[in-house]
Amino acid sequence: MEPTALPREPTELVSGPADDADRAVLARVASGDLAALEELYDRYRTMAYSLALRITADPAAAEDVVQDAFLGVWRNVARYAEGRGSVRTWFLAIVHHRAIDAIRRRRPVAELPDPEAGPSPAALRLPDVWSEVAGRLDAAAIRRALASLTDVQREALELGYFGGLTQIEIAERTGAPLGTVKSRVRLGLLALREALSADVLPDPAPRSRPAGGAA
Amino acid sequence: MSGGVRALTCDEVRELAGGFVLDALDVDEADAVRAHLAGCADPHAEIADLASGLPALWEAMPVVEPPAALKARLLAVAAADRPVATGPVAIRPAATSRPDRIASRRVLGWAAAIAAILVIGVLGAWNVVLQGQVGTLRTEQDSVAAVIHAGAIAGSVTAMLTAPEASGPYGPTGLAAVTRTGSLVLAMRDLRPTTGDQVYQAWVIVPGSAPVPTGSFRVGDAGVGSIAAASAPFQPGAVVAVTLEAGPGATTPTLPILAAGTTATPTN
Repeated sequence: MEPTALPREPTELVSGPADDADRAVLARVASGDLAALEELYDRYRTMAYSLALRITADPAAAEDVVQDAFLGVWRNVARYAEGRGSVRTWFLAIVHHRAIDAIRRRRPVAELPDPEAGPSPAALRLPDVWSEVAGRLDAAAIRRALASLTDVQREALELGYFGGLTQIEIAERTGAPLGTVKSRVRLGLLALREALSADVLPDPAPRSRPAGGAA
Repeated sequence: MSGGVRALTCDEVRELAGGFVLDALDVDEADAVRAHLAGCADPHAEIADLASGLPALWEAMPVVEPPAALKARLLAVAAADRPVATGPVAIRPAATSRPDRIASRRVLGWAAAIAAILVIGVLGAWNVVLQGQVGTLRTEQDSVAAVIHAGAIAGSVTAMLTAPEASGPYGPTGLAAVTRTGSLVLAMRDLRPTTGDQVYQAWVIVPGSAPVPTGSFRVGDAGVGSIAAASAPFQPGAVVAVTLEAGPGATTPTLPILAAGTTATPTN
């Protein structure tokens, strides 16, 4: 069964001193400070490149995506919206958009990856832990968060986030109704959030803590 | 689908929020959500809420370091394309607009393709002297790619620098691009190595005006050198020239001019 908890807080779970530092760097980037861009690059290059490579599976394309994303920040830093999340989430969303754009351009819409074989649920696993920026999340927390997903949620998130499929394409691919896919995506993300909140936040709101911390 | 962006209700945005966070909407839907968020009084907290689950996905990726050259290339391109100062970070919708993304991708894709086919064998040690707001270019490939990037920016002018005929067929040569915002990116080769305090100095010479010093660099045994400098005068028809100076900080060029070229808008 898919979990039904629907936390409503607008706050982002992973924020804190690192995000304040990021905002300060962004302010310097906005003034045209090349050293600030370099600092931002040093902070996020590994996450950005790993994400781009995970999606494109093409080192050259991943490099283009990462460079394009940082230049996008350089040119359009004023588009960062403080109210809508951390710098990290914003920046990785830019990387993600561009990586998805790259693979959607590369393949005709009708030609989706692995048309027959479903994704391996094991594809969402824990390979490593980010050292700095994401280092607040410990391995056990991530493992529990991923374990909290149902197989169909994991499949929907994998196909959408890393595979570049739209929800409509996921529905076609899996044979599930579109409404069901939307529900799996939403509840999957909320399940991850919920599982992370139990571990990341020192003082989570005492609303719907998952018993035992795992599904 | 019609060409316009469809107006969505708040409820429709909430229904699409999961797909939006996952980037799993089609282009029209995603544009419609962005348009709604840009003008809606409701902060649509559900989007940040759902995005809070993404870090778990990030942690589930194999960690791969990008090639070291990517940083130098990025900084070189950025140096050649400095943004207009905007002051404090404004609170605006975070999504980047599609036209920007497409335009920038077109430039980068083209330049990256050209850079990829440039085969440049000499990657010896050479140095870059930072002067003012000067970016660091670590390899000749990076510097040539940076010139191409800068030259591909709308409105930029480019020049091929060659030695005066008197110096024979094997004099130094170079490529330069000057952006409308006054960034000069220059890649030179076949220069004699500098010694002591010597530097090669780049100049931008607008006809009728004094030469403007625009960055200097040292050269090692490989004979190559490069700069990415800000505050160059921008004018099609200006000359980019290189001289050898006894030390950094020259305000007037020491003759002879070793290589020079007249800037012009690239044609295709």
